[in-house]
Amino acid sequence: MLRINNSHNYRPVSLAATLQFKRNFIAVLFVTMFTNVQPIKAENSIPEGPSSVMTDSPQQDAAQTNLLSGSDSFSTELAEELPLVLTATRLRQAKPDVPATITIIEGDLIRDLGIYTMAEVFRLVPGMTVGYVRSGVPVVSYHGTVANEQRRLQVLIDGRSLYNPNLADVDWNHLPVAIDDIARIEVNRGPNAATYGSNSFLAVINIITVHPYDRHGATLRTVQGSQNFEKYLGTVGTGTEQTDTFLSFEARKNDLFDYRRSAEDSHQTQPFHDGYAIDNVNIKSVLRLDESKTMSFAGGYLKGTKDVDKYSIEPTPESHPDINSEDYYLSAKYSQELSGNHQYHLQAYYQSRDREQTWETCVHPAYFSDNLTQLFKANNNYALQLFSDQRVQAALISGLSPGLGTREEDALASQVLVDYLTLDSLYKANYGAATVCGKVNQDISESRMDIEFQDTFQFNDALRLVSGISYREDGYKSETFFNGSGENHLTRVFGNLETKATQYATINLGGMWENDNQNGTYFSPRGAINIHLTPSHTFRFVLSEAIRTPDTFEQSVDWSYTVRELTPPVNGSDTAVSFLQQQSPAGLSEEQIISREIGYYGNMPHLYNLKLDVRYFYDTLSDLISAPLKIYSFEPENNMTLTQQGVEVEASMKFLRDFLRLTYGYIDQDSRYTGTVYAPNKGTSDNAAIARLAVLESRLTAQNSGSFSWIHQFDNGIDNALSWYIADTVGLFDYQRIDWRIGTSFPLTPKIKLDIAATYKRLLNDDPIMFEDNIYADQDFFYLETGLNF
Amino acid sequence: MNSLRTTQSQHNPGISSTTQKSSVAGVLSIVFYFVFLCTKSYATETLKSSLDIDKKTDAYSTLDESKPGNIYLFYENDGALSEQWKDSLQRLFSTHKIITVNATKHSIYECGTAMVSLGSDALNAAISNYPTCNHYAVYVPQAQHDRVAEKYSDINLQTVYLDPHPVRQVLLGSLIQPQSNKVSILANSVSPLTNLTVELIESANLSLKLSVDTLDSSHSLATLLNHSANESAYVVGILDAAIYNSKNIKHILLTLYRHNRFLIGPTSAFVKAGAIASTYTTQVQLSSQIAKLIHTNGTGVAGHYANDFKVAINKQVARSLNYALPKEGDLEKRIKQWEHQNDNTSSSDSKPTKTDADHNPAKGSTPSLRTISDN
Repeated sequence: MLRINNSHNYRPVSLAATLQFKRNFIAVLFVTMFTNVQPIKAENSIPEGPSSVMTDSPQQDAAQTNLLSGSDSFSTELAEELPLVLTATRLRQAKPDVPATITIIEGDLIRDLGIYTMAEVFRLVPGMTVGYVRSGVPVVSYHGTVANEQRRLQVLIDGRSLYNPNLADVDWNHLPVAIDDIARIEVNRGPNAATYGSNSFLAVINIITVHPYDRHGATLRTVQGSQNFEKYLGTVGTGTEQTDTFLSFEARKNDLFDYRRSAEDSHQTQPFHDGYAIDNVNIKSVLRLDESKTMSFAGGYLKGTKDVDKYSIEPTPESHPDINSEDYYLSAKYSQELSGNHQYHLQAYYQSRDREQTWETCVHPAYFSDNLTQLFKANNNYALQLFSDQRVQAALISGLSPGLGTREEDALASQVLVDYLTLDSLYKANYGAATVCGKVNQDISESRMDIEFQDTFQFNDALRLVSGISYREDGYKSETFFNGSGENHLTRVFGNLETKATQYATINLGGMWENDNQNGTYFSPRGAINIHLTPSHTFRFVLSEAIRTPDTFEQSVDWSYTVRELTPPVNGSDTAVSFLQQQSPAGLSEEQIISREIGYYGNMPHLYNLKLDVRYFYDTLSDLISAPLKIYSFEPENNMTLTQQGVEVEASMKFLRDFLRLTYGYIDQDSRYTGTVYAPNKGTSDNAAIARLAVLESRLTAQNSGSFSWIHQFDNGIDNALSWYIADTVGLFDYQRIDWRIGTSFPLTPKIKLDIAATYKRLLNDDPIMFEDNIYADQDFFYLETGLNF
Repeated sequence: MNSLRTTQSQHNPGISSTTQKSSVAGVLSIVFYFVFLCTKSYATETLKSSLDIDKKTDAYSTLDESKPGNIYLFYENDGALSEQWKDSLQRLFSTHKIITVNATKHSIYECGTAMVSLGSDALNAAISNYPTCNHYAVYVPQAQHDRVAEKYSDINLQTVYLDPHPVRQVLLGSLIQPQSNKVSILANSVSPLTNLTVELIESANLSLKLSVDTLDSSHSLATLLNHSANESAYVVGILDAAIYNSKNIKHILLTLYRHNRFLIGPTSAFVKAGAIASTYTTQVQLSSQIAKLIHTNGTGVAGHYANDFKVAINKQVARSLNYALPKEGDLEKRIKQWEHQNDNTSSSDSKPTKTDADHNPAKGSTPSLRTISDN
């Protein structure tokens, strides 16, 4: 049963060939789109607008159009670029028409408030919480639930999904985008699988980067601050009549927390090895082929390291198991207007994600015992207690059953004990100590190829349809997690019909049909009606369903650690596989959510530009896979149901020189265990285990959370921003922070502008952040920004 | 005069007059033509000296309605527009003959009671061919009016600018986005047009910070636009053809929209193209104002902003930018209310001199957009 490193199962040649094929495919696609598409004359139309309102002055229009010959009517291209809400349905919709609650965070707001890392942005979203797990890994969620391996958010950057379906999570520090390059972030609060498919479960985050045209010129910027935070940004943008290109380079590092609980004494602390550093370069180009056709390209490369504290891994490694990352992506999108009411686009992207994590470990040679491996597979708990509880060992030596398993397992455990004692004596005699050391890794390579066709057709002023089809391949390769490599295939068909039967109502009906080779076929629908009492006041009623499909890790894991360069050797070999092995039971069902929402959106420009959004929600999350999946305990099961209900408010007001923004979220969560793993008679502490699941499912769920921001612009050009964030509670502790940023800019020469700003952040209590391991030495943080624009 | 007009018609078949045509023999034509040249020369000189007198005295003489005359309408290439103007003026000057003339193709040989030009090209042609006549112009940008005035020193020209009054445009922007205190104007360079626009807006004392962003201070239109979008709540368009043209307009609109800013269109045509709104003046409103100018029979050179106006909104853009706007009529009413409260723009129309308060709608007043907004 000893696992041998069967590297032939990795199919490296096959995978490499597949990846090469995909790259070639995308390259061919680009060329094809350039060469084969025949120009079709666009017809401009405007369903409503001044052409109708100015019927008494058509001649005047005609007399004026000499300035605008060729572009004297509202074009679809223009409509495509309007800052409408895109995320909810893929139709560009005005906010009152959107069948979901959307929070839009402008890039300028992020920068004005002095937010320097991506995850921290989401404290501005009602109902969203931010935490840090393991070695300072940021996690973000909407309506909370689990913290480790938070798998229930969909994250997109310019239409590319950054959600990893294999080891489902989002790597917030390694997103291939600099905060300075964000145009805006749209957050669809609530499920939206009808538009973006499975895993758009709790919310969808859509990060939209700046248009290259908006970044002509060059920028140099640096931020230095507490926790050794350093950021260097350089951008350059240029353009011609037909094209605009933008290149951005960012280097960023942060030491994050100062201390963690001591491994030896939980009342003491020790330095925390949890920082990160990345180098990130992105390029984006837009090519206007003619009046109706646009091509855009994007690409990026990111290389980074993530510090991982060795005390976060068992058995404790000899060295810190830091992660080296290397990611890249290529993307192309071709858009064409067939007419004023008919457009389509074709988008393809390929992205690759590599993580290398190697560390040196020293263990007892019995770790590689075949009998131990069999016992661990048969009864995790027995195997672990055998080494940790001397009473178990004593019972077995005495010929008694410790009561941890069957008689066969007792016999196997006795044999393990014999192995242990034999190897212990042997290695002590031959090598002076019963310890073998070697290198182990958690390397993983993932790739994604996605191609999507989307068509938007406007039947008339009252009826629009967006529909499309997409195909995706997700490849993975990891000896440790999957004992080789594999691929998942996903096909999608989607559509959303928007109808405005009257000026008082907008109805949206949408859904997505999906088929993937791992989880089967499913359909996610959504229906919504928005009642416009007046143009300023809209009520919306939304009913939607979504699913999260179990990731490859949950559904198909084949998890083991192969230790190489073993010294001294084990069984005469310098490579051996530890007894810690897990295989997924498979057969997991998808998690489901049914979301019911009543919302109000008010836009009152004459009441100091008051914009008010209130959301009441009642969501049922069922078949949740709640158990933490660890190498010591791997028991995935659809066994939890959560009921969440609450109210969220987002409001903003704008005065002459002031901008105020307030968010608040209240959530009440109930949980119910529906599984069998922790049912009575299965283990020894059923109720505690079930209660533990409920706790885990509320780790990121803050009953009260919110933010308040105030930006004031002084006459002398100084911008002042104050913000306050609260979450009660996230993990184990309350979170409260105030930020104060003050900045200005002034010209050094007519062509060069200097920006300077200082930010002060203060935690309002001395609690650790979320968990006891996340300890700052100080509650005060300072940052200094300088930038040159030319 | 009948024979004279007949001769004109023979050589200028595009002239749309009601004069009867007749055929003449070749020799007779030459004789008539010779007589015509002499007559035209005499009439021009006579009229010129008469206008010189008017200018010296800087006086206004009211048009004598009882004396029938011709009002010539010069147009460029839009015959339908000229026909509409013809009908309007005919109603306003029932005793006059309204004669439409394609300015780029045809000629006339007398100064009518008034020479009304529809557009810049028509004005250029009319002024260059008939510098001594009483000219009136509409659909002519202010910058073009100034160029004509500079080029021809002794002319009589009354222009109602194509440019909407800048203060109206700013008021409109502030009604769309209340609580906005920074407004930007994009221009190719600092010019008399930008200076006057700034002067008018500042004199209205609107509690706004106005900046003029010019291409000569930026690397490119892109950097100019992004600077304006970052630094201002909205952009008020002016009729600077070097900036606002078919090549640039999409870039301007797209860049502003990406920054959640909007453009008050330099004219209503830009609203159709995607600007959020603009004030504009209808043909009926313009013809009424031109009629008043003709009646006052002013001399010298004077430019006027339109007295009356309407508001055009691009509802699709407004909705997209998340502005819940009142109806066009409400916006128009609020702006007019402000003008009324603040010694409005239209009152200046009766003073057609080049440097007077025609450009100054509200000196010394303290506007209250809040008050307007809340009404």
